[in-house]
Amino acid sequence: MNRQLATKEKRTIRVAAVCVAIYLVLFYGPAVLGYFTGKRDAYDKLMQQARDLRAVIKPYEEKTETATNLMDRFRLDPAKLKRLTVMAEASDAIQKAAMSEGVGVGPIRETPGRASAKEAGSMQFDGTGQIPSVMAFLHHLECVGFPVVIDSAQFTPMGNMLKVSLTIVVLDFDGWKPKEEGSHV
Amino acid sequence: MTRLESKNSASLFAEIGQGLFQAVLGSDAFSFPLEREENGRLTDLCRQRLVASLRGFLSQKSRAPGRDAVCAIGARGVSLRHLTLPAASEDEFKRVLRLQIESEFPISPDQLAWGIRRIGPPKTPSAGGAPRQEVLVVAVKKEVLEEYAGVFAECGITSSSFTLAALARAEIYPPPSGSGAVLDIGRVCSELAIFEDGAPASIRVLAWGGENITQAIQQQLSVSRDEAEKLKRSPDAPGPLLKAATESALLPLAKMLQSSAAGAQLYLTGKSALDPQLAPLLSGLLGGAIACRSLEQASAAGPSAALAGLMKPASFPLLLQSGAEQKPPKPARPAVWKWAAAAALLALAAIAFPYAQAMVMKPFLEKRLAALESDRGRLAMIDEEVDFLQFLKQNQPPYLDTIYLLARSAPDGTQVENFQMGRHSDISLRLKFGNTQQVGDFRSKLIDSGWFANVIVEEQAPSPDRRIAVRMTATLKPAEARKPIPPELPGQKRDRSGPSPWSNFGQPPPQMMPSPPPAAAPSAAPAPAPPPNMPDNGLPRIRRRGPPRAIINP
Repeated sequence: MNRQLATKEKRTIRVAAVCVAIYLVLFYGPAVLGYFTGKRDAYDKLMQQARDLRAVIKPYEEKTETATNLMDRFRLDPAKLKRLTVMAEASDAIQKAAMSEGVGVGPIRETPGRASAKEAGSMQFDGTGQIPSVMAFLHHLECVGFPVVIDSAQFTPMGNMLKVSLTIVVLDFDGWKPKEEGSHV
Repeated sequence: MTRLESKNSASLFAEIGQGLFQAVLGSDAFSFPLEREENGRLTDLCRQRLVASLRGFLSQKSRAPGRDAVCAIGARGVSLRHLTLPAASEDEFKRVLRLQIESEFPISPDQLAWGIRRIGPPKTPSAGGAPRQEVLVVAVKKEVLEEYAGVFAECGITSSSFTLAALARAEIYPPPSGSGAVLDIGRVCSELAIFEDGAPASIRVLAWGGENITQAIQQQLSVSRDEAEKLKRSPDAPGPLLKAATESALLPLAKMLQSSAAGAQLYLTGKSALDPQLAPLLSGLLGGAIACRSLEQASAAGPSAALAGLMKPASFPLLLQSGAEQKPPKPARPAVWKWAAAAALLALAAIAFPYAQAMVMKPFLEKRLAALESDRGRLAMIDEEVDFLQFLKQNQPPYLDTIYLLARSAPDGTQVENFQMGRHSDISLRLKFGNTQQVGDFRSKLIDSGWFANVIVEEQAPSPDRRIAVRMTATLKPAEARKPIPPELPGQKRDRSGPSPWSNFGQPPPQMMPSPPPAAAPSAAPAPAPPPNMPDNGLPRIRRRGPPRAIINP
């Protein structure tokens, strides 16, 4: 049968509970505090790592903006370029751009690029057309969709026509990628 | 004072005396003889039989269990005290009363059951001070009531209330305004309740009962006990002898009553009080100072006086409650303590918050950091693409701008025979001018445009068609050193009506030219973009174009 506790008994139990609590705090409090402090320190370290990472990432916001603008300007996505086919695709695009602008395509000579100059190749393009067509073609070359640079240009009037001789360099995006170091073994 | 408010016709009314249990439910009555131990508690056998009998009584007909019981108990073991307490609010009054009970009674209030009745209104002492309230306190050991409550509970009665039988008896015939007493004559002992000014003053248990009369008749008339009992209850019994025997039996009682200051009126209850000769005989033995009157005459066939008092609709018997039930409510904690507790809690929360934050947020932070670190390689890819695109931009010679400036600087009639320009900013021109002055003007304008440096006329010679053939070279200044080209407004455009091989060179700068349609795009190879299921972890991304563009047919 459960007996009801008297007031004195309850008081005794209360005092005992307080004593036990004080004992626990005194003997185990520092260990518990150390545990929680350790957790907090680890969290602070993580926070510092996050701040450092944020400082690293911050400049890239501007870089991505620049890259996006340039990609829009050149209508070019470097990540989609393939080294093996970029020369052929660029040559095809240049000829189509010339024809679309009304420039007659003459002889074209392609030469392999210099790896040291980060070139996929170069091509000698000769064409003939009206002056506006040639100007539009030149303007069009910039956003042909491939990384082409006009190395040199020569314009020679031929009656009402204008003959244009271009040396075009197709850049190799892989040349900008860091070389993977071979094994030292 | 707690009053019985749930009393109704469906209640079980019971009286538990020293040797008899009586109960009334509606019109049915129940009685059971009790056997007690030396300490006054019911024997186990008696208790079991009582429970079984009472359960059977309650289960008859429609007496469903779950009802309540109102029970009057005997005066044995009951203490009655008059206390004077300061009049105060109900809670304060209960608190003071509890303290007073603790000091007046030898047992802790937690082990007691008690009830109080206020006697009259609060009175201000003649010497002044706070008004004081006189109260009657009736107390009994809690275990006594718990034993009876246990019996009722085993019979299915969920709620039981207890009062004092002596006070219940007084309910059927309210005592006069003066002093008086109620004597309940039992078989072996009697209960004497003395009232003063209508309020209970004391309760005594007298060692005298109806058995004393039976024994006196048995001895003086030389009859058996049964015959003596019959003679005691028979109104036709021989008068003088029986009267003498009864008088001799009543004599000790009269002496006890005289010493008890029973007052002017004495009401007799109990089975023995049914004898019509008893009250006059007792009154005579008391010398006529106390008028005796039997209350049992009117209710001979009915319940006992205590039960009748309990069942009286207008009665409000004093109820006995355990000390635990009567504990005064704890005083309301001052608001300052509440605020202090709240402040302490807040401080504790403030201290614990950094630790709790570390415990809760760390897993999320770790996960996010790991995702960022794993995706950090994309930053290098952004670097490569930006470098590549900027190299492409810086290596695009401004052919169209240069041609535009040359056309704008050339005087009318100038004939271009050859124009050559390289990526490394060297320009070579072969032209024919009308005269030498035009050569100088042309050269000056080129220099003034802010785009050219080292403008050199390498060769100037008259041609057979009487013009001046000139071979010039120049160097294009670095982009940052060039002056911006002012746009040529339509009204400022030079009149170029005459045929000139240069006229068509004068195209507007490329900024003014319409944007060409998109040309061929690299083949449909997807970009090495991050996988689609990769979450956006906050790293900047290059906004890439959608699907590859189709090659526009010429």
